[in-house]
Amino acid sequence: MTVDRRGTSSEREPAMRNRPVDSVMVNVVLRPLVASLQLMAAYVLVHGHYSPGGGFQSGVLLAAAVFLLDFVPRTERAGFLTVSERGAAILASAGVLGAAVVGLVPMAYGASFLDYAALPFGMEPAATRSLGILLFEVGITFAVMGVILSIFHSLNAEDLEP
Amino acid sequence: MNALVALLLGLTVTGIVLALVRVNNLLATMALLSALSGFLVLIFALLGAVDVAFMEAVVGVGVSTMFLMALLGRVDPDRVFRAGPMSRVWGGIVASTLGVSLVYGVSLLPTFGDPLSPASKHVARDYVAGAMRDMETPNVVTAVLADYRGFDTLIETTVVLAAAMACVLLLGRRP
Repeated sequence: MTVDRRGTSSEREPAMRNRPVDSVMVNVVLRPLVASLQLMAAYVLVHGHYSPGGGFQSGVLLAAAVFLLDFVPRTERAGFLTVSERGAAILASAGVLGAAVVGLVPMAYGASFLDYAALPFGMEPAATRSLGILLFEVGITFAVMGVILSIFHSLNAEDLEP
Repeated sequence: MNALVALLLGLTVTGIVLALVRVNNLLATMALLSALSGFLVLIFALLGAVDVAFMEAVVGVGVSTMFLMALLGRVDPDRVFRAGPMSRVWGGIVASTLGVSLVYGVSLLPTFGDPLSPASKHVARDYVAGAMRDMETPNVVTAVLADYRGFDTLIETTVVLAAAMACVLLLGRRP
């Protein structure tokens, strides 16, 4: 077994750590990128019936729009969406709960679990199912977004017990 | 034309994998894994699995690269070990056995796009025919994921939530 030693740990430390970078480039690139990621996520979610994509992809894009901000100094994050660790856990659980509730409501109307046609929207079955799919996907989106942010926060947690 | 593109993609992926074997720098490994995912996206798109390609693009190229970068911040560069000669031999044996069995497994699969393969003869036919009639959804993948197989997707998301909870409990900040 040989140890890979190139450079001392002190000179490598700043590059390896995920510290925010106070750079004009980062700010200039990230600002429009975060905005377009969120717009793309919304499009992918609501257009999932007609094009590739859906809840999972949209949730990942939304999470990316939040955790990319980790590279920007805290003072530059004003006006952007940030999610705390607690917020991420709540988001993930609420998303799964929301998707499950969309499945449970039809049971209250005598249909089987996840049979969206029984959702009380007063439309014909096919259109109701289409809307039910969208509601279900919204739940999946928030669940995936919260899950990814939770994992990212826990990987980035600084004060780790040895 | 498609065959040429497939050949080029296959050669590129092989090159990236060979580079992955040779490289001995964590940052470079991470960049190569990300590039590998990027080319897998193109392969999935070439095979017509656009939804899978999209998923690989956002998860393989985006999120797992970010996760690996976050992990790099936790790795102490002085405690990274290269495998010794014996572990390389054992690793080579295990990897070759796995590779040979995978190739054998693929050779048993039905031909790509075969309309008579078992997967296209069972319920898939009804799903493709019924997506527009049952839920006005032209994208059959969405119809299958969210409605026909909605239970599967719901439990899948629950599993992912459980994984996130495990991560937070094991790695997260102690109060």
